[in-house]
Amino acid sequence: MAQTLSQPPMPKRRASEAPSIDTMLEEYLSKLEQKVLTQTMQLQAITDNASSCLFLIDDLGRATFMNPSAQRITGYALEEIHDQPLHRVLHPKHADGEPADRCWISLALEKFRLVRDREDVFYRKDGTAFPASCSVAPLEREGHPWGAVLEFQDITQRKELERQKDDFIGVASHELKTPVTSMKTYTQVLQRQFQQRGDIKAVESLTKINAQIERLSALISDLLDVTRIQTGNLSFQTEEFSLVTLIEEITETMQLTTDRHHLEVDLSGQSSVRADRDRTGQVLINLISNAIKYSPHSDRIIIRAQSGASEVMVSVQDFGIGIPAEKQDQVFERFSRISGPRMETFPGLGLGLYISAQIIRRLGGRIWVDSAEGQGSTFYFTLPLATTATVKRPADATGKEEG
Amino acid sequence: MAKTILVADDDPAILDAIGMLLEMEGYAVITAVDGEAVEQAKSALPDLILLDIWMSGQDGRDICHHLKNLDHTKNIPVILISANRDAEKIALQCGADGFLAKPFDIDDLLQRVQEQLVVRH
Repeated sequence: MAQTLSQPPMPKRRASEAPSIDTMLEEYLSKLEQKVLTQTMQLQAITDNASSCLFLIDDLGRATFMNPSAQRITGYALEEIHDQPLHRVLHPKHADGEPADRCWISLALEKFRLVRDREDVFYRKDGTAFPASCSVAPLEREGHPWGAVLEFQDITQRKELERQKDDFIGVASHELKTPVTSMKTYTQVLQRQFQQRGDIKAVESLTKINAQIERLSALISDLLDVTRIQTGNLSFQTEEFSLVTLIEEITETMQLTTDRHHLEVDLSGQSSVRADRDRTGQVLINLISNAIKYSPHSDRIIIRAQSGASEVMVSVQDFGIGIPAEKQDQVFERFSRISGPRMETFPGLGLGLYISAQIIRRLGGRIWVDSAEGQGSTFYFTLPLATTATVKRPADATGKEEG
Repeated sequence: MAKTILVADDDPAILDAIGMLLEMEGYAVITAVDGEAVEQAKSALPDLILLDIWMSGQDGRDICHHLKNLDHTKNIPVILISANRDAEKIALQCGADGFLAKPFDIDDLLQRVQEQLVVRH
């Protein structure tokens, strides 16, 4: 057997029976035909059975191919739409009724830019709208653009689920606040009664209960805020106020929550900002309580504010566990939490920094972190000074954080 | 004579807790669940009304608006209470005299109440 295997394969024809050029060409063409046929069949099997809508468009944005899913979901046949830009067919207006001059499709073609998983609203033949997640890949041949592949899915179901989830969290948070309110009132009434009687021990215990109710209440508020951010309903009431005064007030209150840490304040310069005072306070509380939470073995936290020509920069520095370099990008994301060196976890939902980042962006500022593992973290944010401030519309507030 | 405060909320525990607090502070308290608030306000003519904004039966905003448009109730101060901290703007739009977000500190509640009673009397 081994001998047979080591021998070269026997030629099928003997030299005297060499094929003519014609036969070779015929064989080659037949093979080529077979290959093209196989590839076409494979391609058709994929496009026919893909659940995504697939379009091929030419350099002028007109559809030259659409798969059965695309026909089924849009209601169009290729013959009906091939003579005009697909953008005009699928995307004649924005969700709010405003005419749409451009969309991801035209952007991909004009700027030769790859677009991935962007949400948009498209329109069917019968005029009804549906939310879609679309990707557009521009195509080129020898350096010349010749069209693009458009792929999208109807995400109505996903959107509906997201809406139900957000509604649920909204209702649940509201329902949770009701018992918290009566618990807090009863607790404080008792506290007052024991105070009057001079029962210090009871007052101390009730103060602790009250602090825990506060904590519960803050967690519920965070959940509610996240829901509002997701649905674009986080509201802002802007006014002009002194950031320095706000920092002093908050620092004083936060000092009461820790016996171990001394909160040092280093404030300089003018800091009149035009922003939402409560929301800015919420960010400060968040950063300071994080600094306290993640530096259980140190005793210093430094809060600084410095104003420049057009903005004021605030920082909160701790000397705690720090954030590993690979985790620093994620801290402003939802549900992001940091574990300690021995993988101990810290209480919380991992929503505070996400909410803070969203607030600061909406107020026209930037937020970032500078940290070294085991040495501590410094969180920074900026706010435009009152003379330069403009509050961004939610739709514009999609910039990326630094840090 | 003790000042009378009408407290309207659709949650019995909150009614009870606020009622207990206000009585402890020497106020006379009337409580109302849901839409009873309007009738109670009209018949008892309290010195002040604490009204929940999202009462399940009838929205506190409508009640407030209604009371502020009736001759014999329009001068009664109304403090709206809501679990939604962003509802302050809504509260002022419907003619309320004050706003308090749930959950509140009782010191804040008592301060608002006193402020309104001093303004009017």
